[in-house]
Amino acid sequence: MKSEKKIVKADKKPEEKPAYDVIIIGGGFAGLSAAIYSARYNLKTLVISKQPGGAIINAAHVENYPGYVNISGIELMQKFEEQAKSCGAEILIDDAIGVMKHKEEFKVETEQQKELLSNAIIIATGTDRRKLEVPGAKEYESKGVHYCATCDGAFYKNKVVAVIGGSNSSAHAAMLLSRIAKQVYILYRGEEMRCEPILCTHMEELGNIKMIFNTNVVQVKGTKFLDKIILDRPFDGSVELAVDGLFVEIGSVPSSAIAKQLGVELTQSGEIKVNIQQETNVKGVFAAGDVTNTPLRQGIIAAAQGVKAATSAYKMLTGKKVTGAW
Amino acid sequence: MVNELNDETFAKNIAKGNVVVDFYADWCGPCQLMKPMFEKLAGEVKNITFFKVNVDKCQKAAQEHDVRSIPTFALFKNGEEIDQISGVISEGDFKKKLKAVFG
Repeated sequence: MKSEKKIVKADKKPEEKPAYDVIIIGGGFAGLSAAIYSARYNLKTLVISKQPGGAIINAAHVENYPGYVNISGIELMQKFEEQAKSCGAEILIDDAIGVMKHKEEFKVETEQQKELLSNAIIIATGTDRRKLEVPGAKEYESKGVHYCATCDGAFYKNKVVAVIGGSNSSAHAAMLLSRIAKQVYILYRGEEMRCEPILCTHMEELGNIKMIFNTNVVQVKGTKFLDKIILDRPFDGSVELAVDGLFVEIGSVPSSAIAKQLGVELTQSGEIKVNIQQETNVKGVFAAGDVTNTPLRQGIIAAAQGVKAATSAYKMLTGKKVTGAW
Repeated sequence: MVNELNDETFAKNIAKGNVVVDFYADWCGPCQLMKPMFEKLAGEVKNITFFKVNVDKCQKAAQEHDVRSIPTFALFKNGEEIDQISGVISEGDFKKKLKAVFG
């Protein structure tokens, strides 16, 4: 979210009455699941998303979302979007850059200079990729330093690449790259991978993935393109490692700038604090998915939280209870 | 409708005027995400010609223009590459970039 941007006032004044019962900011697992339920509660629902589908669209294969043995991220999220629309939710491709309390309602300002009113807000903005912050990393972004193995891996056929990180995402990136590149290094600061054990087994079977532990990348070098990285401890007798591509999988940070504007309480690491009903400390503002202090960042958890957020909004707006809910 | 270029037709089509080329692949999620916006702009913006190039089929064009990330949008003025945009970008930011390069 680009909260620092100043919006140019649109010619039109904001509507007097809220056009929407619920505005959902974010169109990933959480946002679109919230939209399906919100629309089915007969609430006038709008999803605002600059990137419908969310972070999972970068995944070539999703194998742990129940109901699908193997599906691409974009295909899965197109199904979510189609379902939300078929239930009656509207989807606006735009960036929500400001949200404020407007009398008893909320006013959302977007990058395309729209001002929209709603009675409740569900924040489902997910996370942003954590960038590699070492000399050279920015200079060589898209010229050797990459943040999406699915998108950019194909350019490294029979080349040498490295993946930074020890998570599930790193393992998935390394496995994908191992089928394209001749050699894949995993560089991780920890003592062992922290991904699912089954992924470690798969990586060993592939035969061209070499793991280097207790090691950090401190610099990225090259000419027109990246050609080497500098490590903080020697590997094979040298701190220089020749690679053609470097794929960064070092986690993510919550996209909670919008929540902060509303006075929503955040954790020290910037996650939105929610209770079990997905309520924040601000009445009428709910949050769901990876932007919250969820203990497990997974699509299915985010989807479930979206459902709870929509149910809480419905309960607040109508005073009605849902069978089986709190 | 955005016309597709290949390795044979590429040079001729970017040689004159203001041109934007979308380097993409069918299997790339972010490329699919950008596709509707790119097609919309192609219909709206009159002083620029929009093309697309499938990097799986046209590796020569992608290599010659140093494309190592998709989607990449290459901006040409009379055949000279002025700038590149890589990754997912909002419509507003894309328009700003086009205006800055082509006016």
